[in-house]
Amino acid sequence: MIQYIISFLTIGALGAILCLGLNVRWGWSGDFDLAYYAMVAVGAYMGGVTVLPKSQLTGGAAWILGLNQSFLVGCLVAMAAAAFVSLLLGAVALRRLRGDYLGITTVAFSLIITAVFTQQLNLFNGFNGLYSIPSPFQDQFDAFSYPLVFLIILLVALAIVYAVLELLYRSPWGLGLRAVREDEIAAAAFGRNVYVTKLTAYVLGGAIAGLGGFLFANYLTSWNPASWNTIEVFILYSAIFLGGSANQRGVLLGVVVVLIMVPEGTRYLPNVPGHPDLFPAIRGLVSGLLILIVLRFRPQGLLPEKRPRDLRRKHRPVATVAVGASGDG
Amino acid sequence: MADPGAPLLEVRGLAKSFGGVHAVVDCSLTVMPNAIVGLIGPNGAGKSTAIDLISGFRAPDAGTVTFDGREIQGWNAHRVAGTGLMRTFQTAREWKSLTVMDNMLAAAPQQGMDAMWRAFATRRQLRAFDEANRATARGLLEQFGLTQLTDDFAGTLSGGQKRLLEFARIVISGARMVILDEPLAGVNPVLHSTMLDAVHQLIARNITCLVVEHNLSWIERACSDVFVMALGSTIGHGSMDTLRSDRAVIDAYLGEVAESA
Amino acid sequence: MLLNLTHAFGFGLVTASILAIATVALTMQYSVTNVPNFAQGDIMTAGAFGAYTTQFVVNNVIVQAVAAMVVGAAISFFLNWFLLQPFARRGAKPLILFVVTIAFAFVLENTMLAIYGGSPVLYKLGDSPPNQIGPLLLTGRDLVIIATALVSLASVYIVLKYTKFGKAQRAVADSPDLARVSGIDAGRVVHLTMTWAGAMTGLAGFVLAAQVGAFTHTLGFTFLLVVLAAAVVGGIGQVNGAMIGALLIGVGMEVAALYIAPDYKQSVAFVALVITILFRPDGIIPSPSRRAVQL
Repeated sequence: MIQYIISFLTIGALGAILCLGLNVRWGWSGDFDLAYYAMVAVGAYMGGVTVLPKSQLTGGAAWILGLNQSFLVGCLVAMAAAAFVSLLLGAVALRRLRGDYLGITTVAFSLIITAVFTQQLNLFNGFNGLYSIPSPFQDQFDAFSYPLVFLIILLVALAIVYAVLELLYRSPWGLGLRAVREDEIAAAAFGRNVYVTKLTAYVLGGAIAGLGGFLFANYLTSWNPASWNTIEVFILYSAIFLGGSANQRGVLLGVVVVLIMVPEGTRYLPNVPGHPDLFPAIRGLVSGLLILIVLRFRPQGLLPEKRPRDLRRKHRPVATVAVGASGDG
Repeated sequence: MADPGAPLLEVRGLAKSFGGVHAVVDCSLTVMPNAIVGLIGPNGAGKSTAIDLISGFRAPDAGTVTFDGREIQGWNAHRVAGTGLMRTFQTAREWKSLTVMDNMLAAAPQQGMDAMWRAFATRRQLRAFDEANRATARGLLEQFGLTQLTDDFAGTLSGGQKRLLEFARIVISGARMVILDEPLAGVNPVLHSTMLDAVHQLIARNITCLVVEHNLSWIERACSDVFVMALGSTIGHGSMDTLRSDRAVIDAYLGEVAESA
Repeated sequence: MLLNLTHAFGFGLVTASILAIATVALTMQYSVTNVPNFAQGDIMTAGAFGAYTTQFVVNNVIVQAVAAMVVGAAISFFLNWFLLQPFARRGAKPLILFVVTIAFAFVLENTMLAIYGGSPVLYKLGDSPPNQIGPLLLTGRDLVIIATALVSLASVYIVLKYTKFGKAQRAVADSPDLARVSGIDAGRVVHLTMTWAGAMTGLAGFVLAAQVGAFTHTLGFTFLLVVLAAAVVGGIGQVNGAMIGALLIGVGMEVAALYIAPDYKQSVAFVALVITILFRPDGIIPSPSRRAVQL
């Protein structure tokens, strides 16, 4: 029973990290980005080849690097690699594209990146992918207790990501980004560099994507190009749309519903003979329906964006430097 | 930077074409510091495009724009805004899903505090910065009569309130000059005098104004100096009285100017 | 070498034919709704499944093709009537409508996965050995595909240019408000256009399935991006541009496959798509320019 709870909490935590990163691009910046999963895959791969030893394979199919580094170094490399790819793509796409054109262009880019992953055997080991990716602290625990350890590591990572993002959201940078989201032209008229602002948010989202991807690869202990499907990002979107874009607690709520409740809820339906793909199909179907229902009846999601209040705040004298937290909202 | 007798904004020979359409052919105007200058003209005269060119939202094909002694033609919109030359739009562009207070905070000069790393490295400075801006914002909201709306989403304000919020944001941004693009559009005529007072509040804070408007009687009350554009070029300049007897201006307006007395 | 090139050109013509049907359909929809229909690919797949299922009832290719068209038309009508129009009436932004089409695509694709399973189904139409047509080598099936495309395109051309409905559709595409003022029921025109485009989409799915011989629920979705590439390159919203775009992309992909690894074939289309969006968003055939504001 415990193992079962640990397993779906693990999926939830991984999904939460990925969704929080996607939320930076969609909820905070207003960009409907469909290339996110490509960056997740890049982070997973680059992190993987950082912690793996050198490839022993011959015959043209291998993986690059193989640095045999620690888990933390793997995380950093994963984040940097995904951030770099995001910088390249964002620099090009965010100059002039918005809305549906941005969606189409990012999907095209993502498919190109995916094609390179599967085709460049000499770089990415083709369809064999990576395997036996070592997980942190794995040798110090037996196979029975390790999943709990890994879950704790994930929850720590999630807590850090959540806290860092919350800080950014409330900062002047965060406010500037939201102003750009609401009305770019007005933001430019008030001195904001729209392009740079959106690009920084895009790269930040990419860094988190990379981290989430590497953690995911650790969980799977393998990396296979076929499993990093561009369209999977839509399941992440359904969690964000349902829970509430731009509200981090909302995103977590959406993750709980879409990534935990829906799969676990359908798990116990009786198997229909002759239709082995029925349950993944139902899960996908429910995700799509959820988005349509949310858009139609409650576009702001279950938990709408928080409204900061100023009128009831204590008015501190300007000259004094405030000590102690002054929470918003 | 510039000497006191020099114009704050000087525009010479501005031109812009789209495909075959010559939206602006030859626009030239001058605005002295602390003045309220008007820009009028029939529909299609190119006034909006001229403002876009001056404020950096479009790049001119030819001409110069000198603000506070610096040539800024061709600069990006946000860079122009950074020099202290601000503008408003024909429809008030508030940030709808942000509160009125957040609208003010986002319009205030950031002084580099909006860099991403600042969120982590300098908490104490950030807090001081935030409190200082909030205090300024509260003062301004009170002066413009918007205090009770502080925590409302800006999108829920009435047309007149949105215009006043726009003015308040201009003030907090530290503008040296603002180009007001049809500030009376969408505003109940009952509030026209209030808008005039608001413009005077800007002047009282040393913010020079260039106003584009169709309401000629309001322009006459507000502006000491008026430029007229027609068919993409500035064709006249002076007080409203002078313009009413100017042949070229009358032709352009087909009698509108003469009748609005 | 020249022989390879002419063979590639021949393949390219077949691909371009399939593309052309789908691209014209996508472009017609875009011209009246201003939304790139991301469900297009899955509607193609649905049409293919419609033809596949019909073959167990009636062993007539033409009937199966018609079944594909009916399925495509019905689904497109449903999408427009129950989703796009209601959302548009509530003032939804174009991006939201785009997301709606993607969500619908997701639902549609997973429904087909649930019904038919993930394993490929076979759809084999009889074929004849290649004939020499001038410099090209084309099988009987290839010729049928090309002929189908030509007939579809010709019918679109005739309807748009010479019929009252076609003129009404072009009016709505140019400016819905002006069209309404001239007495055209814009809503009805959009419904009919979407349904007609849906029928063409179903037909494109049928033809695509016929060419590949075996397919799964993902058939159309991967093809969708190539269709988008053809639509954008040709000039999104311009029907004659769509035909040119399909030709360029279809032939271009096959010719490129001679020089680069064949698995990168589709990437050629994607690169063309990205470059066109970035540098010449109006495509090959210029439409009234969209002025860019510099920020």
